[in-house]
Amino acid sequence: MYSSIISIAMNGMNGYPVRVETDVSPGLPDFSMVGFLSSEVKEARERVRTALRNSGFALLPKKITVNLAPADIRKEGTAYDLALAVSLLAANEVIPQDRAEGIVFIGELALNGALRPVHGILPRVCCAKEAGLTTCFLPYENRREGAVVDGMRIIGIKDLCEAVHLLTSPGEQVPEICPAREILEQSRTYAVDFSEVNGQYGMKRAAETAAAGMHNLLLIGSPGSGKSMIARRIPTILPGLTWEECLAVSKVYSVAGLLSDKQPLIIHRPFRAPHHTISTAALVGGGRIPRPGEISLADRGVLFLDELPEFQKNTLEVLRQPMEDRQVMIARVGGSSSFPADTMVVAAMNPCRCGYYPDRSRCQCTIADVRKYLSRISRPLLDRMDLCVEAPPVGYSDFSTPAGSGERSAAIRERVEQARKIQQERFREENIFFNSQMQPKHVNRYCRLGVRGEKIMKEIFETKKLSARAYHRLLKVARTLADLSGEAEISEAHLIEAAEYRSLEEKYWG
Amino acid sequence: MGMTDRELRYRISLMHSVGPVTFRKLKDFYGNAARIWNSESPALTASQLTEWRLFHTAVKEKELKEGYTRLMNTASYRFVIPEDPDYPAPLKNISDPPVGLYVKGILPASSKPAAAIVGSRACSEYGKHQALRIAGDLADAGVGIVSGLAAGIDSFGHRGALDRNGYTVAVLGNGIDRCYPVTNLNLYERIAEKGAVISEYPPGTPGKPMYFPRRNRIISGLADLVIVIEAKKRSGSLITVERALEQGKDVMAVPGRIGDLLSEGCLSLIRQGAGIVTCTEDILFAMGIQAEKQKDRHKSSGKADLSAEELAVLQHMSTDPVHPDRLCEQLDMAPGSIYMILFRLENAGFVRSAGPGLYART
Repeated sequence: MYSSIISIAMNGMNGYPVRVETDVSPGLPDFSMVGFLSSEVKEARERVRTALRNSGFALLPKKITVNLAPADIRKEGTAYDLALAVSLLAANEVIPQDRAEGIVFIGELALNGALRPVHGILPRVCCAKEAGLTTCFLPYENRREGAVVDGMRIIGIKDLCEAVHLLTSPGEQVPEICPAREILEQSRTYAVDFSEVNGQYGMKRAAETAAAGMHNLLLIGSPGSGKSMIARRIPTILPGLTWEECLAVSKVYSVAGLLSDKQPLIIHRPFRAPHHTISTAALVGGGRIPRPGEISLADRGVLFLDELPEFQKNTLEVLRQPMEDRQVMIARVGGSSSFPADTMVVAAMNPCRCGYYPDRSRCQCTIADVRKYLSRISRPLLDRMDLCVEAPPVGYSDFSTPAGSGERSAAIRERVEQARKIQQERFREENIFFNSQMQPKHVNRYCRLGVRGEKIMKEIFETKKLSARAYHRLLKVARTLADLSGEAEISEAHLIEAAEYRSLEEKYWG
Repeated sequence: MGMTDRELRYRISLMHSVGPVTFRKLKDFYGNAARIWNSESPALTASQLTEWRLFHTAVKEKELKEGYTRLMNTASYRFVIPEDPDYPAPLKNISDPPVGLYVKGILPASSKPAAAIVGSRACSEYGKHQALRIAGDLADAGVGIVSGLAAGIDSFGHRGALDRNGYTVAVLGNGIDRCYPVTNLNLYERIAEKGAVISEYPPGTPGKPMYFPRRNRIISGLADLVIVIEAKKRSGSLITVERALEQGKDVMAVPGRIGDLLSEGCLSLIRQGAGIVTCTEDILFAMGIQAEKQKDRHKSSGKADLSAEELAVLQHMSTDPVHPDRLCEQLDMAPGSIYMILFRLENAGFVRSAGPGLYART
């Protein structure tokens, strides 16, 4: 007897349907699996056979051949166990083949026949939907994650016996309902808010500007000056996730295995703050089976790099390409996978090793020490940081006044959304979305200065001793400032404020 | 064998163990160059004698001859000895004058007054500002600035003078063909062009800790007065002060705040009787230079031209660096407007940028 059951395999962020074919024919008893399988897929033979026996199904002593098609793509992971078991049962005529038609089976089997959750449910279910399938049998713990996808019947099952029962008596299948859109609409609140930050006017303003134009932001200040506090609140002033964005972000988390029964969907803008000892692969993604790194987990949110100079130099350099392309390509012999990396990088650092430069009564570092510390961040990386702002040293009055007196995140978010709307309108016919993505040709087109603007620009360059490299960056930031105030023309005030956010190098050694 | 005084001095300058004091003794005893070279003075110590003999081998002789020819033909620096007309006269009066000077640029004219500016390598924003200002004002009054091209106060002293088209001399503690620290390369080249870079060490000598204190006597020797800006309790600048006092030069110190580590050296100098610098006129007075009424070169216009907002910001500022956030808080204004006002004030010369993200009144 022959049977064919559908499961979904993963390659990076994308799923593709896999047919698990089983043939049971007379001959010497044997069980062989083909189809370019990695060792964990080959081991499924033992798991499935034992799980079947422990669930009360005996395999006939015949020649069993299993093929996972397409047979020329390498299969990895343990998500085929359920499909394999169902396929065997169908081939042994325990389940009628037509009942399993059009159903996707995903899940790992325990030896006692129980189903275990697997990673990447969300993209797999999305793929099933695209392939025109309507029903998915998923492990019970994964059911809510799968139910997020509209128009799919998701059946969460606890063990193999339940699966067989539901397949033989289809009337009892109860699809899982996850009111995902409602969850998204209702839980817009964040645990933190900008109103909790006292003072720090400069940093707050820079954070708002960075959020409006998706500029990368560098915060410099002594320990305890509130850099991380500001960074943690940046997601709260970014516009809320749309449904499509929400799905895109959740897919990455699904692949990384970070979604759970309790949190089947990521509804807030991600905020990722990896420790500075992080490895290159963990930051940008990698591994034998490519997995998304922190930069992809921060997709459409904020990647916060605290203590920037303490990161390994090559780890930071690897960030350059994804920051530019807004995606990560990981190439392996078996093919390449791409992960999204549309993230706003916020970095924080001390001005020197002890953290108090230029306060000479506390900082004992020599100028050479300070230079050495700051030079750990390469120039190409610094060039990608559009805004650079210093935290003032904290005084007593800053924490003695009660928190909550500042502006609320919601009010700031409104301005950011307004500025983003203007940008959307402006770049309608370009393939970019934000001011920070402008190339020189866009800058020339959209950041024209009047005669007066040119004059001020010249004055700024002389007074602040700016380098030519600062020119485009300054204009891009000024454009965002103008958008924030809803003005079509870049004015003198915008240019001067943008110059205040000039690069670290010009501030320290200019 | 007719060896010139210049060639002898060149050869001696290459010796590590024979320094200015021994050379003076030899000169006093033998007088003429050939006799000095050809005799083994009993005044030489054992280690000096070993090196002396090493310099008198046939192989070395050839090398020295070639080296001297090269020195005479190179255009990048000169070897100046006391017989030369432009040799700085004040150096002839110190007890251990350099055997010879390797020079890049134009040596100071003896008739021109000169002041040394020395201080901490890890200076504060205050020290930087004072060094730039004092050096600039002195340069305007025609006073040359002598310093050691080190990081910190030294380099700001040189820069202050150069920025106002003044004259400045850098005395190196390493070979003339090297720049230490390398971050001052740009400054080194500017000084070589507009002033002079000098060293008593032969080209190729790397900077070593023991060389720097020795060159300090040349810094104080070239100057009529030594100004100390920011020094810790045990600072290299205080060696320059000692040398200056031995040479009978005046010492003045720029006071700092009590309690700051970088003020300790200067404050203790003042307690010991060094002159106190409260403004550039104090220095000019001490040097006996008729101080013209220094007009504030920055302030192109009076305060009358400032708007009410600008005046308010200015009133909340002092010469201590302040972060714009403080001004936002005190004046209840948005950061954008504060940046704008600060920029206008900076352009008009009332405010200066005082370190990363900080501003102060001029």
